[in-house]
Amino acid sequence: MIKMKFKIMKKNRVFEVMLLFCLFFGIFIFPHSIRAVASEPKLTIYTYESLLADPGYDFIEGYSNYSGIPKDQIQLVALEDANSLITRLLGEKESPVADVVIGLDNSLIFEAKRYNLLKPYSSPLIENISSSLINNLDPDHYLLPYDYGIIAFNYDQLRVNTTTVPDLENLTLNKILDLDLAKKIVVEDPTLSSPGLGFLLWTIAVFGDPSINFTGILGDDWRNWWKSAAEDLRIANSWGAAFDIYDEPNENRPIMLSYGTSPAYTVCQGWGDNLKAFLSHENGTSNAWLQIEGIGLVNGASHTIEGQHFIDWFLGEELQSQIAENNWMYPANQQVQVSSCFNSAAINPDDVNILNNLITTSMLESNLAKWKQDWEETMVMKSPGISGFQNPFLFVFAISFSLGVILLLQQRKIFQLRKNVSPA
Amino acid sequence: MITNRRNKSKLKKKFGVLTPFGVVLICLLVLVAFFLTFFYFPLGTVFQFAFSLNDFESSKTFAEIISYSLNLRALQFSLIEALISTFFCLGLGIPVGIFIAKYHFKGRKIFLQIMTIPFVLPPIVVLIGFVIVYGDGGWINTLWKSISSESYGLLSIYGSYVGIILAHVFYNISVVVQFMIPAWQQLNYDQIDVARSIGASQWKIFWKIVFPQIRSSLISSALLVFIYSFNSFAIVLYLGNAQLQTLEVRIYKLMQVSFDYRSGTILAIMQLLINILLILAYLQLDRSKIRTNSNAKSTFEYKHIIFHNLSKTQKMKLIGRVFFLGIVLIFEILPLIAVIITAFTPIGESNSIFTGFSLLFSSSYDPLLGASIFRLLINTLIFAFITMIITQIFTFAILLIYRRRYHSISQYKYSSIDKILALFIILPMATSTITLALGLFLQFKDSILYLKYPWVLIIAAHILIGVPFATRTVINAYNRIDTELINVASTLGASNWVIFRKIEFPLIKRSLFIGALFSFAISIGEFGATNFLARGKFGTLSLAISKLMYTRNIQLTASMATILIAITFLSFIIIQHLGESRFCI
Amino acid sequence: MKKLEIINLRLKYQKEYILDGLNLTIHEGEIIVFLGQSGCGKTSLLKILLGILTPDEGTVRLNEQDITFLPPQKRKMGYVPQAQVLFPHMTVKENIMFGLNVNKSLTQPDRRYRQALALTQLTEFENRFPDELSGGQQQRVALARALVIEPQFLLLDEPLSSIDATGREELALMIRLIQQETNTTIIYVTHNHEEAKMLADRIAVLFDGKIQQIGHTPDVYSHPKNYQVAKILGKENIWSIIEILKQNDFVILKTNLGSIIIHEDLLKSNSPTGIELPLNIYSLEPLPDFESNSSSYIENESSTNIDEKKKEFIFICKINAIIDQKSEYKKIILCIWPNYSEIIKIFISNDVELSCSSNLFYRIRIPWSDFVIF
Repeated sequence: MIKMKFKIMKKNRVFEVMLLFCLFFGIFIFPHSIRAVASEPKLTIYTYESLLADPGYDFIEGYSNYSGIPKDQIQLVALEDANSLITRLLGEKESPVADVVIGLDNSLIFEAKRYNLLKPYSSPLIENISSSLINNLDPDHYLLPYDYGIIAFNYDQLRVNTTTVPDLENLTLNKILDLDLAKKIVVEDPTLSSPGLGFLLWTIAVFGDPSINFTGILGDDWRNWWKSAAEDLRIANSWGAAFDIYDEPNENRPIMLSYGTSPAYTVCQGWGDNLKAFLSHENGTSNAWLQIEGIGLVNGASHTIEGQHFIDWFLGEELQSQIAENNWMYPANQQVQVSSCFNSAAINPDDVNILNNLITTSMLESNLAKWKQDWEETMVMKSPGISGFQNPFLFVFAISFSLGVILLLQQRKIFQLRKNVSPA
Repeated sequence: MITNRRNKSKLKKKFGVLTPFGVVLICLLVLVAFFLTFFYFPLGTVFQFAFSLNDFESSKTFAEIISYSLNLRALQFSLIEALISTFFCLGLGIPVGIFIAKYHFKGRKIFLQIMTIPFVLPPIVVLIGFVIVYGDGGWINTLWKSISSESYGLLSIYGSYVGIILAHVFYNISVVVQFMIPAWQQLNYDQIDVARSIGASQWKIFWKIVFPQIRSSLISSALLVFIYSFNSFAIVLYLGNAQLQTLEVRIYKLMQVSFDYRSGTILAIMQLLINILLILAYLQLDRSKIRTNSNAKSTFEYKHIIFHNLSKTQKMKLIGRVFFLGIVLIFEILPLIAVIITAFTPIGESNSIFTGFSLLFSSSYDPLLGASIFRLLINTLIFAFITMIITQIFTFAILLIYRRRYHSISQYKYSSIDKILALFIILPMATSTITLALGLFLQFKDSILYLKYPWVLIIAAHILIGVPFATRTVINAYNRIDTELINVASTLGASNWVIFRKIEFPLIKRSLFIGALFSFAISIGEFGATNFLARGKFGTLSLAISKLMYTRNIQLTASMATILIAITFLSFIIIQHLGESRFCI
Repeated sequence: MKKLEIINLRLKYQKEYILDGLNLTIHEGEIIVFLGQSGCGKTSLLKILLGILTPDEGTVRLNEQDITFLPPQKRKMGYVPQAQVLFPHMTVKENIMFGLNVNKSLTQPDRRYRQALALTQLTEFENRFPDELSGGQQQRVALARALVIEPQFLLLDEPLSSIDATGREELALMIRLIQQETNTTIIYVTHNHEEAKMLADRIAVLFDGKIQQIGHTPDVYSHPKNYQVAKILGKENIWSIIEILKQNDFVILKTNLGSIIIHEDLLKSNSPTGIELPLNIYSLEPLPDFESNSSSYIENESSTNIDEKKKEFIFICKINAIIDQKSEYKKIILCIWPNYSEIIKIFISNDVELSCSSNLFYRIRIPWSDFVIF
């Protein structure tokens, strides 16, 4: 009897634990949801995750203080990366949720325009932004630049320096191949990452593309450079992955493709000054691709006025002064001064021959998709194949054939079994 | 089938509802409703979306997209890579599975848990550890360089088949092991003894007697490994060096990066078709399962590892086996250890070994993570818990649908409805995550679910991914129950419900529990779909890890990964403990 | 008086009727054994009686009530399946108590349990799990489990088939004993004629989907109705009759041994299906000059092998094996010339000198009165 009772108690306890768990979950999630329903957002902003994130500036709070809109009425949706912004906006095209989108750059602008996702807005703050930035991003003001920075190779001075590579400060893309430096470099996949894409455009601007009669600086074909470099370069799928490879000394990739402002991060954040940046020096100039990030109004947004106010604030001095040391780019607003620490460590785009001037926006618009595709073909076709099955159809055939044989054998076995085993 | 409909209906009229058709119908309705709402309709929406977009890509024909060299290459690579991965997984997993099934030794459970952890960890965590150990400058290569004094390492895991296959084997080996253990323990040992007594060779015994009995489990596990490897995403994206792409990576690139939804969808359809073919082949092969199992009586007993009383060759054999086991264990555990070590390795002088953790808990990274780490922890656990509960309910429902066939026919036969149902449920697992997530997003973007309760969608996605695994495990176990047990129980006057409660349920408890464990763990580690659907405060730990990758502090990432490993391991132990003491035999 | 009637039962399995028009009445308190080869539908019949299967045609009636579609739960029939099917997750006690726990209507569960335990002599094993028991013990548990609900009928499906010889006898006796003590009607299915002989009150021989013969054990054994029944009953030295020809007062029976001509009067039925040779042979004479390939010899012999006056059956054979029984008789196995695959087993006095040589042939004579035609 006692045993029985104990058993029942045990059972009940399991049930109680489950009940408690469910209650706990209910308390935890539902009130939150109800609260969210209660406050209909006055402004919805889409951006990518790392915007102003390191060490971090809470711009929602900043804007809330500035505008008086309660913080919980400003909805911030941070997506994984800038590409996800396009996906999200495209999915919601019929009934947009977002009012403002932050973080599309001078290559994604074409996708946004192609699908008609944005609405032009000429903010009064444009006058504080250099016209070359505006023209290189979007002369039609669908997107307005809020920061910019050049793509550059970063290297660890302790592992690579002018003693090991004397030409380090004066490299060209071709010299990188000649000196076998590609084995020490990690770059990002141009189809997955914006600095990666910047670098692809950099090589295109330097070498040119005969297929569209674009000579670039050197009048060669950019594909040749990638073909020679493909085997030696490490290609990471994101900036973070590239950094991990760079950061791990054993990987022996002390050079990574990053930004000209990255040295400023390490210096100003107290990580030491071993991280340096270099560019390519074809024809005696320092050449680099400029990435310009923009903010824009979503086409069909329900809070256009609030959105415009927010953009004005975002381009204004209060926020722009936070750009340099939280987003680690140059602020687009020329009125804003960056700290001396930042300025001394970062490469200022103004001191560099900007390759964007060679590739016009219209050229970029009509060729970008094809360039990416060509790049992938160049890389993938370089990949190791498995001999014997060079023809994929043959391979598929072989697989289905063997599968069919197995099935057939199996069928025979089943058949035999049936014959032998009639019900006992 | 022996009974015919006429009799069945007659019988119902006379004696009321004999088979609980009502219950089965409700189960069927619930399942169909869930899968239609959260999988099939969203899938349809993706197709509709892809083909309704009007842009320059839409001029491409179906054939053009399929035969485009990059896509073909991706298909070819997926198939080859999955085939080789499956082969090696079986090669390593079968001996390990048999050893664990056969021998009882101290730390057996821990060993199993360690083997299983990689399978449920998010790929990012696995990759962090994997690169530290097997990367160009990883432990293995460094060791090799110092031993052989060559300047190039032993392994090159980037842009090579080696790396990707190694990672897939590392990831999936536990699937084979988990399938092999019950199969081996339920072998008919009498047959083996008979064969041995008439002097059959070891090889012949294996091939003629053991193999047919474990074949279905073997095929199930091989198929799962193949599907997982074929649909592999993060590993290939990370290690492929942009040169090697699976179909899944290709789909991701087309949809997420090039916004070429049409091509992406067509490839996704192709991928789905291949997966359906594989699953159908599997279900076809699965048919004879019950025959080999129905009257099988297990006389299984654990062996202990004892060295004395053994002949010299036997000793050598045993030592060899233990050694092999050790190697596999090291292979599996090294990356996990690497992650943990990294978490405690300070970067720069100013940091201590606990910098990673203290930074995480100090809420200074809360803006990046979207919520405090405690909140993420609770999110992760609760998502996993609800996923587990609902997965269990679904598994039960599927079981109730399946068991209906037993009460009137003597021989088991897959009816086409069972087959369709199996396919219906297993398909979400075989769909590319990006398609799944995009579908959920497109389907629910205007609904209250997406706007206010994103956690519902996250959990739904987790359930879709977890249910196929859990159900397969349970149905495999269910098929092993001797039908005569049920017959006997019914002659003793036990009602349908009592038979289920007292006989069938206790016999499948263990696999129910394994299914629960896996759905829990899969939910903890799920990344792809969560990443697409989660917003604001509803992030999970695996999302947090990927976000922390963007900081320049690998100690931070590794610390978070360590927390995830610890939680997975802990939940394994807790559930195992609960399962063994209360729910299981 | 309880009785179970089976009326015109038919069951189809994969397009073939494995039970094809079965009619039978089972009375209270008897042990009826269904004897048949593996795969003849015995188990299916049992399952129909249990209510696990439903027949395609025909009815099962219990005390004039149609129970064809009554679910097994309501039939109160005990079932002991073929292999030792115990609930693996329950102890012996839990296994046996299962029926009592689910049937709340059964009073005094403890008394019933104790009784069943005592009957099957399992008292010391109460708390063991099935995998800790031997095959015989497991089967006893299965028996006890079926008995405990005090069924109207106890259905046993080859309960002894997977048990070693000693346990088998013991268990058979136990079943007999239980039947006597509880007066339960036992329906027993087996392919083993020994078991049938040991246990049965009545034997029903199943073949070709039909009951070939049913009757009390000695009757069936002494007078098998046809060749198949004789074969299933395990009789040795039986031969099937392939063809029957009539000549005047005589009948020529063609068997796989050769032809036999007998007088019409000796035939009990018009269409006999087999003959049985006696185990004791009167004469076995060596044929030193017989050559196996000499066809002429055969011609001669076969024309003379029917000696009407002597009324003998003669055939030629070779000794395949001699088994020394350590008694006054030895058993020899002969293979028949010219078809060596046909074998007969006979006993012969130890005094007779025999050699197992492969080229030595013997002639056997058997008088008419010694073989049985059925």
